[in-house]
Amino acid sequence: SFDPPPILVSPQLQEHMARKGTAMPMPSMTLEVTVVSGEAVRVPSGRPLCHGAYAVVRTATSSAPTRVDGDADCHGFPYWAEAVRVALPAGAPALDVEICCARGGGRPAEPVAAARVPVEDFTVGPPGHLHCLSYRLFDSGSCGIRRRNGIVNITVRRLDGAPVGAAGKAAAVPAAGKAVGAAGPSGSGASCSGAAAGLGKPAAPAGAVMGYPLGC
Amino acid sequence: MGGCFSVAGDVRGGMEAVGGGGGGRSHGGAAAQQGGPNDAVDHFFQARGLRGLYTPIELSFSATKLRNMDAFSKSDPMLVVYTNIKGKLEEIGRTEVILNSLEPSWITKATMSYQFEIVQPLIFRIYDVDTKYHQTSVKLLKLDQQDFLGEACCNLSEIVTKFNHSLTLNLRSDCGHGLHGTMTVHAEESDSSRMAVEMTLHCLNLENKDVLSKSDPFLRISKLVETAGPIPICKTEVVINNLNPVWRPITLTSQQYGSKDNPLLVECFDFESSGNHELIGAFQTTITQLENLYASKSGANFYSHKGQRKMKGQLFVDQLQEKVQHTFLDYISSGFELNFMVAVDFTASNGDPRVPQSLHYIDPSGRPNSYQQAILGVGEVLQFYDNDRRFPAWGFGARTQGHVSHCFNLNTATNDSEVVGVEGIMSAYTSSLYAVSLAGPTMFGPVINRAADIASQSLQYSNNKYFVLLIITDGVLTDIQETKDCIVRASDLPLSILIVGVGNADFQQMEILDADNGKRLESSTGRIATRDIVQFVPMREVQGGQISVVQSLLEELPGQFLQYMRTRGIKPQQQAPPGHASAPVYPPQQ
Repeated sequence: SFDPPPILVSPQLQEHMARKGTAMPMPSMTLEVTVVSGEAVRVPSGRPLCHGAYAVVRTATSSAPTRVDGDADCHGFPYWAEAVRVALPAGAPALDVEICCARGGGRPAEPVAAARVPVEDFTVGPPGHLHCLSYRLFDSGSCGIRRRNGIVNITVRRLDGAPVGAAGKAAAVPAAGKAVGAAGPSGSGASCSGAAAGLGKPAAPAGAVMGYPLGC
Repeated sequence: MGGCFSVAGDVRGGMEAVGGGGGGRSHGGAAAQQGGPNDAVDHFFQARGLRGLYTPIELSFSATKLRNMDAFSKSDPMLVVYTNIKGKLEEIGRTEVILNSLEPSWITKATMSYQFEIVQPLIFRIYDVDTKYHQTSVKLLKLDQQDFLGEACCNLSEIVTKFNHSLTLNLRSDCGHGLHGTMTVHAEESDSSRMAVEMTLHCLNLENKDVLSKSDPFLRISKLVETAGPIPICKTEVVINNLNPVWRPITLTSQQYGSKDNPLLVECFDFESSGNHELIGAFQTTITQLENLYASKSGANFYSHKGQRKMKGQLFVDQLQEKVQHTFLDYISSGFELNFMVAVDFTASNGDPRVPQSLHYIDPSGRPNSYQQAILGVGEVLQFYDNDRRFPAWGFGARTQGHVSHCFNLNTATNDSEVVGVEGIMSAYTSSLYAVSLAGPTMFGPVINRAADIASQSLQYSNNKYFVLLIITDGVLTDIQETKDCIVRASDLPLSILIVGVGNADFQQMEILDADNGKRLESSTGRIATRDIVQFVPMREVQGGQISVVQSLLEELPGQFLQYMRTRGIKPQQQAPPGHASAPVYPPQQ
């Protein structure tokens, strides 16, 4: 079935676009960025990223690296789940996450791929709320062509302005033993990935059908 | 193998761990990220008529102020509980007879399995059992020979959503008159359904299946069910080129493995990108036996395909710990809500509502059209999870007040976006049909954005609300990229989107939005969905099938809810919710 082509943009959409356009400039923020993992990341030669994978979170005024992924056989799927802290200056539109490859023999680290994280993406919830975010990576290559690379999975939490108790609640560091659900190594809910992969779904036995209340 | 340097995203997706929880340490691949069972698991369930897993519930009963039927003593009450299946009452269980009591508190419990995706009506009948039958086993009692003391009914979801899982009901006589007595039903999820076992597994000396390199092993664990054979519940990620692999931790919930002595099948495969994974070896075990392996630090031998030949490959359990996981019902009964929202397609392709061929035709005989069926079906299940039952309802693709709108309030009378109850949605829908003129094109962006705005505004107030947007449509989207962008943004919000396709359009693009195939949605700006929040079902495909449209739409919701809450470390509230008239979910509309 076909409908007539679009004629004009609805007032709601215009309103929505206007709202997005006139966002208030954000004040400066302290952020906890957890770089969880990368997926299908290739080094400039085209091979999967294997040895020496680490990530750097950059803002205009600060940058913080993660450790190097200890798994040398990650085949393009590095995993860190490491939280770093950065300061984001007022009015900054975004932060960057870059994946690099440390090389032996005194050679400098090689930038592999990067993604830009707009401020709007992690200011939806109140301070302390954990945002789970994923981005397409683009080559950091200097040739001027930004080729698509893999994916990076991160979580971002604004630390300042978060009520102490609330931040703690949202962070919900899963304690050992009676932990709930996802226990990432950083313990900071870094497990946007895979944490709930094994959730049980309520069941419908074979041949179950819809029932309707008897008018109670 | 040798394919590891050219792994395409989708092949790699097939190599990710699924269904084992991964303890948060999985690669974060598409499949694991979205949290749904993989296609293979889903296929197994569907092929064998088993969908999802059971949440066993134990019901216990008490009553007060029962009528006295005996002349010289008090009544001797017994309670019988039924459910209503296809209009037929089916007995779930009956309690013991309590002698001489008008305030009985029965010991015998009834068990049934809670299913989120269907309405489960319960009928309770209380009888006074005559003294001459007291030697008879309660199972053999003929109920028509006993005195009827009263009945009550409710839906199971009304009990489990209550704090403490207890609901008190007024008793009625057999002709429907109210009685003085009441009964209380309490639903208890067994503690064991919260248990999960996290394990780290490794193998030694696996057989080599590849010619030029070593095997690429992964494990699949299935539950053995007598009537249905093995049902896969978990698989590990693939470890490339390694005969002594160590996998990331896996988590099996008790809802997956059943009891600790339930037989499990552990199979080790050599990964092939073609999907024809070659079996390296298999053996049968139980959680108890795996615990013993862990305690004794010994290995379990794999056996060949037919099971006769013992192989030198062995499996070891490096770590094993029991964990407690909060269940969906833990959240729901502690004040968490599912808030229902509806958006209805008013594009011209539906056909003039005045002609019977139209998808919007209101049949004078009262038979609901596809739109009404979808609203009723989903609304009847979800209404119990929403405290105030005020549902935002919108229409899209119609001409209202002179211009085409892609998100207008369905309630044309008051122009309030919210309506009260499922009846409110139904009457707002019918009145809209006469108040607007159908136009086009079909666009989802504005309604999804509106729902996303409500969900993100609610985050400012509380984290115990989860939103469910039902979109019912007949058409092909013209704003597919805009819709994808909205969905990607919404994947970080407490929001799930259910789409019902009505009519005979080609709904292929909807399947793209429903990321069940393991490919994650990507926005035009390069942001990627962190989880699957869309569930699409075409109305025609499931009609006549075993599974109703509503069931297939709703069955992923509890999982999506739990994934959102657990990944953000949000836990059920420990205290009773402070009254039901809580602060407004979001500020009133201007």
